[in-house]
Amino acid sequence: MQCKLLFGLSLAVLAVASYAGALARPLHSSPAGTRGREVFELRCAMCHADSALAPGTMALGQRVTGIDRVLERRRGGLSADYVRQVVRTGLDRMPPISRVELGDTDVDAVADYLASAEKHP
Amino acid sequence: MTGNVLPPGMSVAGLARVLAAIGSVIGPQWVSSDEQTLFGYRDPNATLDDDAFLPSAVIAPASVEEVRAILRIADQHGLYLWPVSTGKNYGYGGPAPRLKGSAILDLRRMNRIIEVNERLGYALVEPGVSYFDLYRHLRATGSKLWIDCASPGWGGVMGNALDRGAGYTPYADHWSSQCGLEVVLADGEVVRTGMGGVPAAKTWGAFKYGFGPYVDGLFSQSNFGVVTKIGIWLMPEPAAHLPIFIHFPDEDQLEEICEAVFPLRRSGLLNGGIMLAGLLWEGGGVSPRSRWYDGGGAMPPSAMRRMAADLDMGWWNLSTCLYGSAEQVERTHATIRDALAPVRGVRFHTAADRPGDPVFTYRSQLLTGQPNMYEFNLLNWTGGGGHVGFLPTCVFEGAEIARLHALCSRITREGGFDWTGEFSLQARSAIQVQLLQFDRSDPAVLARAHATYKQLIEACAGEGFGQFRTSLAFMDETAATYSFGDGAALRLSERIKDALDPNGILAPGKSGIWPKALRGTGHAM
Repeated sequence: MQCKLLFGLSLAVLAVASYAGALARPLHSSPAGTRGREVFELRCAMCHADSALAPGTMALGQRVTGIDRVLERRRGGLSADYVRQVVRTGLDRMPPISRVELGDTDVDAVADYLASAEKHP
Repeated sequence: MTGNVLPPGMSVAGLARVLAAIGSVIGPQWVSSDEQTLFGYRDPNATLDDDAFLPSAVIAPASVEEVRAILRIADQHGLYLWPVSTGKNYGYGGPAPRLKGSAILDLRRMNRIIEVNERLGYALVEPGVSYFDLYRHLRATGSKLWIDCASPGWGGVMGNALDRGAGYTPYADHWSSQCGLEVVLADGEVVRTGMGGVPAAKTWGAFKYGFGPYVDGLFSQSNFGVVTKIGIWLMPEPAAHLPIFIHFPDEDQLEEICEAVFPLRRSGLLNGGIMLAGLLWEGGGVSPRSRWYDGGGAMPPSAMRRMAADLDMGWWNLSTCLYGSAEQVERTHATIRDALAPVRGVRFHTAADRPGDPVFTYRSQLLTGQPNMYEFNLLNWTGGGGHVGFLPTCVFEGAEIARLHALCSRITREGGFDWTGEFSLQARSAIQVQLLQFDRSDPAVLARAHATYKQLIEACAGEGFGQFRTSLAFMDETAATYSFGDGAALRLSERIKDALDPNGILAPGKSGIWPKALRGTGHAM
């Protein structure tokens, strides 16, 4: 019997493959502008992906109305300062992320990525 | 702006001196006492307010040598340290210290995956390696090994194992999958346990027991040393696997379910993690409480029945996975269905029945060693972020499991809270994994949650349902329930503590173990 792989599992494999791809590429060697996207994929998407498995997305959808609950779809409409503040102080169910876990440079990169509508490869 | 919390017995100047000394060794950028940094190390889910468990500083070493140096300096100056691996032990304290004013020893910079042995199936990792990190590494390197992860997956491989957490595959017992430690003692001595003590041995990650006393357990849920490396066994990818989901309609059939499942577990037909989740756990991640009930107190059965019907879930929801060859999986699946068919109202599912269903998807991922963050959705049930884990143990007897559930459910509901939990059905025992969830923004609710948890501890211990893991505020009380011999177990731990850490600098109060100088000084709760 060929065991059935779940459709959802396949999605998860695709999602994690992108994580693995990001892991394979050292952040410091990434072209300017892609670092923020890589940091987002590696460190933020686990909660903020466009998925019912992503608790940040689900919490946003429950907590606020009138905005897109998927963070990446709001790029260009988020303030970099706001993103930095939320990362460092947490918000509602999201705990703070310390400098040891995610340094200021990476936080700046992801804040700039979410604040910018510019497309990255 | 610096934080305003000091280590007990230390002045502002004294703290500044010891932090400067440490900073001169590891770099001042890795030592901090500023308020914003410290804010990230509080317990955001506790039954007490944020003030209860605040640190005085954060120290982040990058190597074993730096850890040794920090411990020597801390020991000289009397600085209490609280080691954390990834600091994601939410529901049990997160990164916060038990003793207010302790300095966090944040080991996340030590995040190397030192070795993965593909043939023998183990990894050697440092404290800062999360389940996501190890999983990504294995997939990126083309490994055919699976991790067993806790949920959510951002927790530490080491930290969870040392706290005796669990997962979902046949390697679910994380402490049982541990093989070999490297530990830095309070005086800076480095010890490698098991076969790590033989320098030329290749068996450190393969053979658990060295020669002489087996000391690994001394460093689990304890404050006897700082663990800097851990060997962890990894599961070879099976030829085939099939996650299965079985729903049961009524709350009062818990005994019947468990008695039907027990022979399947005992025979080894079901050899992975078996989780029997209550409706509010299973449905609480896909819907907020307000959708079903917006009154005060515990949710009434009528609302729960509507919730079960609308979400097409059982009152009890079993999830497990079959592993083996394709033929084995198919035959086992048929055997399981035949064995459980007589159980009243049983419904069998596989994920193929509900493509894209978030519950079936996240559980399928966990059952196959794929970490995710889904269970953070459970915090959306009430909002407010408060939750503490209550984990009493029980023998794997249906009547006892039902008795445990009835006791905890009654106390929880009388406290005005919903019973949200699941049972981990193991070979000979069952663990109730209950999340006491509450809105932290209301001080009255906070106080009631704290009181309810204390009632749960007392009532369960009195009935023989001992806890094996708890949150910071309840460590002393939980340790006290191990009262055989007038507390002989705790006295033994204290004697070991006094021998290994005479100045008591490591994690004071962890698991109710206080250093000699702080015993009877009012720090215990």
